[in-house]
Amino acid sequence: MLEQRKLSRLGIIALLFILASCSQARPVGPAYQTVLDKLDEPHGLWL
Amino acid sequence: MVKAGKNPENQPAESNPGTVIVNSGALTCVDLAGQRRRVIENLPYVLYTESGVSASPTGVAEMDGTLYLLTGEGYGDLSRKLLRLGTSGTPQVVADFLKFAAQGKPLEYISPSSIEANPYAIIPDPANRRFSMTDGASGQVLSAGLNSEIGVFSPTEDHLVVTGIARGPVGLAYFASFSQLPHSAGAGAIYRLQPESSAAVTLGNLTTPIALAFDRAGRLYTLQSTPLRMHLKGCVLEFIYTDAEANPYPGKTGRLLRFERQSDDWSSGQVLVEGLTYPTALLFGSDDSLYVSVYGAFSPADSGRVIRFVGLADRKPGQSPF
Repeated sequence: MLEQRKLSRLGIIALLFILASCSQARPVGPAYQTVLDKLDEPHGLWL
Repeated sequence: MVKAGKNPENQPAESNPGTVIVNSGALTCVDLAGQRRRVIENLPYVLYTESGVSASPTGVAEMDGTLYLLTGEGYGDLSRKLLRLGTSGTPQVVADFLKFAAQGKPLEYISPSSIEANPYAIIPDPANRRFSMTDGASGQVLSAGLNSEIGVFSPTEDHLVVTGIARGPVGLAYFASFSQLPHSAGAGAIYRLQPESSAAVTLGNLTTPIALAFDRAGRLYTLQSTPLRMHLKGCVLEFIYTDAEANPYPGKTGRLLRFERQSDDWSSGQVLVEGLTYPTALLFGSDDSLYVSVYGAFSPADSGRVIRFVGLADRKPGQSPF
């Protein structure tokens, strides 16, 4: 029973470690959004 | 936002061998609430079917609260013109680049396709009551006054394919060039227009730069379109067809680059965004957000988008591309 608990804890720690690694590996970039879509070959822009 | 108008099935198309001609170009406006409306439509558009290259309305700018539209190569009455978009809804021709390029020859006896005039990008020059624009066919930067006068602002090397233009530090204008044909990797450049109408390379070793912009710190941003797969065989330019779609222009290779300013030069650069599909235009908003148009060429109807990036100006040198 004690061994099973130890294994469970180790499993949880390993899972947290993997999640943390994935989080660090994910590229963090600037936010972006589509302001206009369904266009045909858009060219010049003006604000 | 200028929309080329690739959707010929909606309109009767006049077709010459190898071309589809249709009046489907438009200017679309979107407000802060996201509401969109067509400012003008039924503008000339031409698609060269063999290469997939198209020409259409290409640039838009404002002066004194009035919108002006630049149209590129084509075969309609409004092709290769600077148009004023007044409140009447009917565009007025301000400058005629086709007539200017014909150099006084009667247009009725000349094939329009043989005249080198393909205006591409435009910026206002309100102090001189004129606009400056690149002409991708003649390889020159032209000026067009509100009084309809056209002049060669800066001659460049023969047949340099010039693209984007923007106002940079100290009010000088800068323009991008793909290079002469064929456009090999690293042959593109950014030029600075000097007040005495000469042009000098200020940043080289680029590949097909199609648009440029500057942030408040004077850093230079440029969109690299995509290397073109073509080569010269004798005197004939040939496309190199390599993929299943027989497309000489590979997509999804567009990149947004930023170069740090060092005195009057921009030498150290980094890739900010990669994987852009046929990007064509770049513009800074007043809040430092950056607008990029993508799927701007060789793309299916309705696939074009304008994307707004927030926080790109805050990216530190050395950070990996987004």
